[in-house]
This record gives sequence, structure tokens and C-alpha cells, in this order.
Amino acid sequence: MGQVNAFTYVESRAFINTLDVRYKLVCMSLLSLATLKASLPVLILITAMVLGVAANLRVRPVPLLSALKPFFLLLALVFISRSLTTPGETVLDVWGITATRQGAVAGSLVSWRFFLVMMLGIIFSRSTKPTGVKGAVQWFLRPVPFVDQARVAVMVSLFLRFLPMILLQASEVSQAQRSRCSALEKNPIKQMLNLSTPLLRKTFQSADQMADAMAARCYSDDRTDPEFFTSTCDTAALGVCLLIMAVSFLSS
Amino acid sequence: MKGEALIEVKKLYHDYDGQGSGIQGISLKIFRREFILVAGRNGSGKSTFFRHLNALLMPTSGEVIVNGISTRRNPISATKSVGLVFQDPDTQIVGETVFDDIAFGPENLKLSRKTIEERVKTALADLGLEDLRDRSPASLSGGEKRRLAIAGVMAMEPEVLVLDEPFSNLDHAGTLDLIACLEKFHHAGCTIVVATHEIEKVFTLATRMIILDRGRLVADESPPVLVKQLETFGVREPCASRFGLEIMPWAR
Repeated sequence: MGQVNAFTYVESRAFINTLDVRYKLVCMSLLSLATLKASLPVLILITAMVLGVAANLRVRPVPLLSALKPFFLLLALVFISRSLTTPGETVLDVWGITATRQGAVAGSLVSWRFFLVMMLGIIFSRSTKPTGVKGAVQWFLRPVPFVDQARVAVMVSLFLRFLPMILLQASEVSQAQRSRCSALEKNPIKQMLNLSTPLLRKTFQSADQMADAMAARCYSDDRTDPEFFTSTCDTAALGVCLLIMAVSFLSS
Repeated sequence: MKGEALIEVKKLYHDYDGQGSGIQGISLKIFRREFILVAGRNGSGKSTFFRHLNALLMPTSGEVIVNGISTRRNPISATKSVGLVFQDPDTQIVGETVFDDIAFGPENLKLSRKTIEERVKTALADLGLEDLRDRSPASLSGGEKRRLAIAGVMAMEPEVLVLDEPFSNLDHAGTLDLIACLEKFHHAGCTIVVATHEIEKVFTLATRMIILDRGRLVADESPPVLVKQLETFGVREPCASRFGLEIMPWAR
């Protein structure tokens, strides 16, 4: 059996899956912008919404957190750097390096915001088929002059198709190397080279094979476009997201 | 009387590296309703030959004519008429659900949504995939993925179904299911061309056998005529034939 990672689309009857992709794309963008500006109460509200939607999508927390380990490392680095560089009341002093309370609060908020944006991305990619994204991008680009909408939309959908595949392949290559005691190699540069060389080769081979397979099935820019169905739920969802963004910007 | 050839290959040469490797002067005709078994050592040119039938590759010299039209003149016409199923189904599957993947080909043909729905439903039923229509292809077993790859091609209603090593990495049950599907398509009037090293699996279904060796066509006869010469060309003779027994059908 194959594996399904955190970013793979999963068919579900969840509310978010039923939304029109165009509305969903706008809602996600509005919420991401709101998250970056939000004060603490609005951040709590957005977090509750995001966790609610994730639960409705049946996102399992343990595999998700495990898949996001490198991202948490990045968040930890952001937190530490903000704690050490923001002036304020000292809470920790080791060998002359001081961490401040204001820095820790600012670091926590920034990490929290990044985490929410990442969660919004995961929710979007798990609940939206790449073909739908392609159709929506094409629809949004329609009024823009001198832009080949079909080609741009194809590039977006291929990127979304390839991202989970690259992650799966990275995991396979990493497991294959760990089974041959790659953990004994302590040099991080050599470790990275050992992982990236076969991964790049495999990714290019897969891209090549997929291009052939798509050509064998008459792939071109000119295809039957996906149909969009808009309901009152889409308008309501858009209204809620607009309201949250307005509150977020006004309260910041 | 075989009638007019569906595919005519005239002195086909394909040179990959300027040193004469690839295909070297193959000429043959493929007629409607034939079931052709293609055998030969690894690197004998089977996959390259198949890519010419589907117009994925263009001849270095010579010509491939599908339905009276040269692949050089109209490659899309050949791609529509000849459905090619690749050796690795993972690189052939592009949809995020089983339904979407089967719809990919008909969407490329710019069919109406209603026709696409009908074709996908037929392909799902023919390949026994109805219960999996909303599943992610990544979560399917090897046999299911193979059937999905064939369904994706069959939904385009090609006149010829070409399969490159369809039995590789399949368990016994998956192999029997696949053979039953091929038998059903052949009885329904589809022309089938299969490359495999495990020739006993389709030996009794095949009406004609072609052997390639170092890019050349070295034998073209009915399977029973060639069975005792197979090992000369690096192809394993079926066990039953070695023991002087009748080769039995593999279908359920």
C-alpha cells in the first residue's frame, strides 16, 4: 500500500471539502493575512476555527505533528532568536546571553502565527483537488491581459501534484539510507548530500516519466475545465473570513 | 482475411545515442482484434517500440502509420487510437482520486462533462474499481493501481491497448484479475499488444507472438510455433512446454 502524507488531498464529506474552490482560495488568503496582523483574542478565535476545521477534516494530530518536525525546528529557531534579540526584562542569563520576557512573548506569537498559516495550507491542500486549484487559478487570471491562464494554471497544478510526491520520495530515500546506518555519519553536509543526490535524481526521473505518461494520454493546456458550484455556504464562509480580517486589522 | 492494417510499421529505426542502439529496421503490421505477445531480453527495444506506436517517440528513420495516418503527420491521432499503459503505474497516475485519474484522459480530449462521467463509470465497472472511486490512488495496492492505470487509458476508448510489462510486481490474485480484464477487452473487440517476460500468463490468449532482440524483429509467428525457440532469444520457455504438457490458460 502507498502512503498518504499531510499535504495529500483526501476525499471527505467535511464542510470545507464542499466549498467552491474559488471561495476557499480567497477565504484561506484572507485568514492568512488576518493571522499575520491578529491580536491575541483574534489569534485565539482563528486557532479555534482552524482546529475545528482540521477536526472536521479528520486530520490525525500525531502523524501530522510527526510530519511537521522540521517545521517545528524552524519555529523553535524563530522563538529563540526573538527571545534573545528583543530588549526587555531579563528572564534567563547564561554565559552573558540573555533572554527577555518580551522576546519570549513576541517569539511565541510569531511562531503561533506561522503555525496557523501552515495549518491553513495543510487544510487547503487536504481538502482541495489540484484540478480544482488549477481551475480556480485559471478563473482568477481570466481578466488579466497578456497572461496565458491555462499555462499558469497547469504549472500550479503540477507543482501541487509534485509536492507530496517529492515529500514521499524524500521519506523513502531517507528510510533506505537509515536502514544502511546513515545515522552513523555525523557530518551534516555529507548527510545532506547523501540525501539530496538520489532524491534529486529520483525527482527528475519521476517528472520525466510523468510527462511521458501525461503526453500518452493527450495532455494539453486545452482541456475540459472543472465545473464550479456556488452555494450560500460559500458566501457565508467568505463573509465570516472578511469579518475576521476586518476585526484583525482594526484591533491591531 | 485480416483486412486493412490498423498499425503499419515501415523500416522503423530509432537511435538513442548515435551508435545504433534502440530500434533497428522493424517492419510489421498490426490488424484489428489481434492479441499480440511481445517478448525479448531486457534492452531488446520493447518499450521504445511501444512509445513509437503511441507517438511518444518519433522515428529516426522509417514510419509508423496508425489508421492510415503517419505519426509524424498527426501524433495526436495516434495517441488517441493507441492507449499505452506504462510499466510503473505510480508515474502514470496523475489524479487525486481514482475517479479524477480516470477522467484525466477524457478531459484532455475536451469531452463534455456528461460524456466524461459516463466513460469513467464504464471504466470503473470494467476494471472492478467502483468501490474505490473516491479513494486516493496513493492508498491503493499494486494490483489496484495497475487496474487504475488501465482504466485511465480505456476511458479514452482507444482502438489498441498496449501494455508494457503489466504483470511486474503483481501478486497471484492481481495477475489473475488483470488477465481476466485483458480477456474481456479482447472479446469486446479491442486489439491488445502486451510485452512480458512471463509469457505463460497470456500464452493461450495471444493470437500472435513477436520477439525482439537488440532492436530487431527476429520472430513473428503464432505462439505455439515459437514456443520451442524462445530460449534462443533469452525468453524463458513455459514450464508446461518444457515437460511436454499443454500450456493451460491463466484466467479464472
